[in-house]
Amino acid sequence: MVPISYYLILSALLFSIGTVGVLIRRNPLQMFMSVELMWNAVNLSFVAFARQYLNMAGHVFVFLVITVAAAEVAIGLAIIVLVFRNREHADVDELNVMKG
Amino acid sequence: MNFPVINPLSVLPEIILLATSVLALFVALFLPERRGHLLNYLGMIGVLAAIAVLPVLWGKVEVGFGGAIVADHFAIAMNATILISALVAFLLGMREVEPGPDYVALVLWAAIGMMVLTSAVELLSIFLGLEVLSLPLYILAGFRRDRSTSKEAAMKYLLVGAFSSGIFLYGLAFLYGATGQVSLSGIQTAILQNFTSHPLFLELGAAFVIVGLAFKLALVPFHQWVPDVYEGSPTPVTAFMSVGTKAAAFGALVRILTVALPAGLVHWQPLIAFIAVLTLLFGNLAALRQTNMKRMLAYSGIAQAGYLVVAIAANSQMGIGAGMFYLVAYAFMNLGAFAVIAALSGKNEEGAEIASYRGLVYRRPWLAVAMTLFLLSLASIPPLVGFPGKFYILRAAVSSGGILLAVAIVVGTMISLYYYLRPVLLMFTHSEEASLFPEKAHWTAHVAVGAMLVGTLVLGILPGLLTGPLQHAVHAIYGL
Repeated sequence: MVPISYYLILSALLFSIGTVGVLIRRNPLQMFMSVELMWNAVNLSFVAFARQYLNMAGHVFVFLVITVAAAEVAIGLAIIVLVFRNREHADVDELNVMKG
Repeated sequence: MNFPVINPLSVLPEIILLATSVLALFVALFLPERRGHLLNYLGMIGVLAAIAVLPVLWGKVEVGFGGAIVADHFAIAMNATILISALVAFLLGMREVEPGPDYVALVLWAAIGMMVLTSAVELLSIFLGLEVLSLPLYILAGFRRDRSTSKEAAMKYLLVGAFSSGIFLYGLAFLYGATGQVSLSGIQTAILQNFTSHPLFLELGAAFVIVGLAFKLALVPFHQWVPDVYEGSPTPVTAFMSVGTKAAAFGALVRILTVALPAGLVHWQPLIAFIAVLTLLFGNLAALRQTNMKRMLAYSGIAQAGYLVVAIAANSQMGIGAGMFYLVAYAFMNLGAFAVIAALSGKNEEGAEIASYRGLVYRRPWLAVAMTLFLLSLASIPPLVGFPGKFYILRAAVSSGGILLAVAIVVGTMISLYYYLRPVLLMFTHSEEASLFPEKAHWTAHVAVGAMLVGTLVLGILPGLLTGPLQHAVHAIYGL
């Protein structure tokens, strides 16, 4: 059996990739995908821990996280489309009406 | 096997709000065009009904959903604050947002999420509460689709919110991984009995959870989104989210830190104290150079969140009680200030520029005096409610040995006097210019201003009205 640490390290790597993606990408869609990567990295951790403790709570958590993530994507994409419909490039740095 | 007990009584106020939102969506089908604002009254009735059942639940500790939700004194006290802010969102929403079934339902759903978050005592229900409050607020921030600032606010709130939820979720995964438990009391028991898989997991979990909630609470250095989102969102929404989200996130942070993670064994206190000092100083300094009222209140809100976190850092019963008192105080004075802005604004945000407040007292004496009192209260001048609030926090900080925290509070308060008093001075300066503001506000906005003013004055003069009930709330947290 693969030891749990392998899963946790993979999960941490995916989470870091997602975090870096949010911080350096400027396209809202790519940023949003990076956030999804973070969420799914966490799901991997939950499943790994649930296997380790042999209890179902972690699995249940993952199902609910997936459900919430789907809702979040639906709202997120709607907002991204609303904001960038009339623009040529989707770039969050162009959203600079408010400053200070 | 035993099926877990659901016990609908534990979520009775939430059920009332949910029923109201469904009713609003349904009634909207039969309403003629341009009558959407009538649904706002329906929303108010729903919120008032939910407030009315709180005294009935007070004193009975209803446990629901197999122990995932507890309607204890703490939850009910926080829920009252949240419901007041939802009520204000409806009272102010008559003009600016063109309320319809969507506005009513989204505000109610966000309020449900906030209330679940403060009554949740399991990681799963905490996460669900946080998301149910966040998702409707992303939409509400961009509710004025015709305004580019509103759309920009929605975009920024969405990206930062989803990002911070991811961090928070990772923290929950670590807490679960460290102990194998999902209930807060189960995690505490596991830690006390030294039954944890790896000490690093606990510390990481605590840090990630704090950072995730710090985004929601608007704490420095996780605050960059706050000014833009507060300025861009429609004023009723800003008022609602500034108070409601803070109350909910404060409740969750208190529950997680004091119930699940004993401070002696998991070292979250230095991190919290550090964030508190940073927040206090930065929030107050950045507010100094703002020219937009909503933006200034956003930075002031950051500073006020700093005071709340000082109360948590004190890690004592007195601290939690002081934090809750301050939260109620903040609700009245901050909602009041936003209510005045909304009352001065028509369809557009005429009431947002500080410069336009010049000579206001000669044109709109009632609103100018009310605004003056709210700002003085935010600056914690007695006999307004901000003063006892800050006094209790200061005392909690000192009695738990946080001298540096107390000094930061005092310095922050002194800085804040400048930016709170500047608009007051402007309002009382005579000016010949014609008023920029539209003729008159909707009567509900005046009701909101009046109600918040009563709260600010009465609790400022008689803080004892609130400290008694809050005692019970604190005992609920500490299991006394």
